[in-house]
Amino acid sequence: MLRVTAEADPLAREDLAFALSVVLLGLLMMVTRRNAVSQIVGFMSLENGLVLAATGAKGMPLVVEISIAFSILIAFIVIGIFLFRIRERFDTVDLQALDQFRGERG
Amino acid sequence: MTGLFEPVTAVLAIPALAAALLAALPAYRLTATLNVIATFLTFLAAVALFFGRPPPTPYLLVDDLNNVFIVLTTFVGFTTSVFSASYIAHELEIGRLTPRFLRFYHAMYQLLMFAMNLALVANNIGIMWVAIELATLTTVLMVGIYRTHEALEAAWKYFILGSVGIALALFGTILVYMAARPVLGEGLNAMVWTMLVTRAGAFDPALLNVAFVFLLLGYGTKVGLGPTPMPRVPLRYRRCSRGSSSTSRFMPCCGSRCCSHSIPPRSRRVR
Repeated sequence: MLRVTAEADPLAREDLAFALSVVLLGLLMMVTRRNAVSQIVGFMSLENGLVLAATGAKGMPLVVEISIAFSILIAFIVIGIFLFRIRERFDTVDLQALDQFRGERG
Repeated sequence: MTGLFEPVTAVLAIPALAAALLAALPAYRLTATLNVIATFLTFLAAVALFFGRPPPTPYLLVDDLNNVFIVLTTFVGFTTSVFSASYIAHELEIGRLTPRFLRFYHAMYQLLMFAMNLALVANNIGIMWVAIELATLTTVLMVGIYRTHEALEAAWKYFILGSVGIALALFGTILVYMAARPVLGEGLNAMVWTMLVTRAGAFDPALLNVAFVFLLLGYGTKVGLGPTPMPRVPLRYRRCSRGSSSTSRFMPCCGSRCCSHSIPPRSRRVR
């Protein structure tokens, strides 16, 4: 990341590197957890990384930033609804329970 | 008022207004009919785009390519709504859905149509991303509407894969903006398709390379290509709300505008 952004201003370069690492840490957290809540924490960390990257990019249009923030908010609400439903239906938030059918068994 | 009758505005405004209307109306027979009417009107507006195209603005763009996709999407939306109107009465009879859920389903259906049309006509890479995210979220809500084990599992997996995918695409979008900013200046211009295309040669190639990886992986997840397995069809086509699955099989259209124009949705993807 630092290598390819040689011409950007220093703050944006550092910011982008940090943002990418936050994104990747979020992904790592998502793939290593079985608990749905921890997965969501990972997902939100990933989104945090994105917002960090967006703040580093100087002068992003307001309409874009607002709608990104809004859609992430909606995503969070949807996640909340689904967590409740999953807990209601499966009596657990362990994602091992959500392994009933997969593509190959369709 | 004249603005509303312009085909581009109509393609976006009809689904948006219909979503609000259908969310407010309780009677399911009426809403099913209204759903069909609204999708049909959207389809007509999309066809009207063939005959009169507005000049591109920083937000909306209609060209030869996406015109075809808009017509295709609205056509599938229309036929699916006809099918779902006949199918949904049966679901009520056997008690799998209640009228309340149905109201929600119709509102989400129109919202999904709105999001897909917005993704197709957007002339702004940021707005396009937001529209695709909105389409993902409405699809997730429609898939999970039955609240059975299978529906919840499918919705959850779709949500996690889809959202992570397009989260990466957002990172790619930001990188494209950063590459375009020194050339096109700060602000809206550096995110507008028509401006990006004219000056693409001057962008920093190294940054664009990285952006391409993220965009391909991100929108590729939604298209259903590449290393991220999207359990789209096997999971949803059979077990979930049929109406929603056949519409959202058309979601690839949105992503394909960014990645590639020739990748069809796989009929069966093995995980």
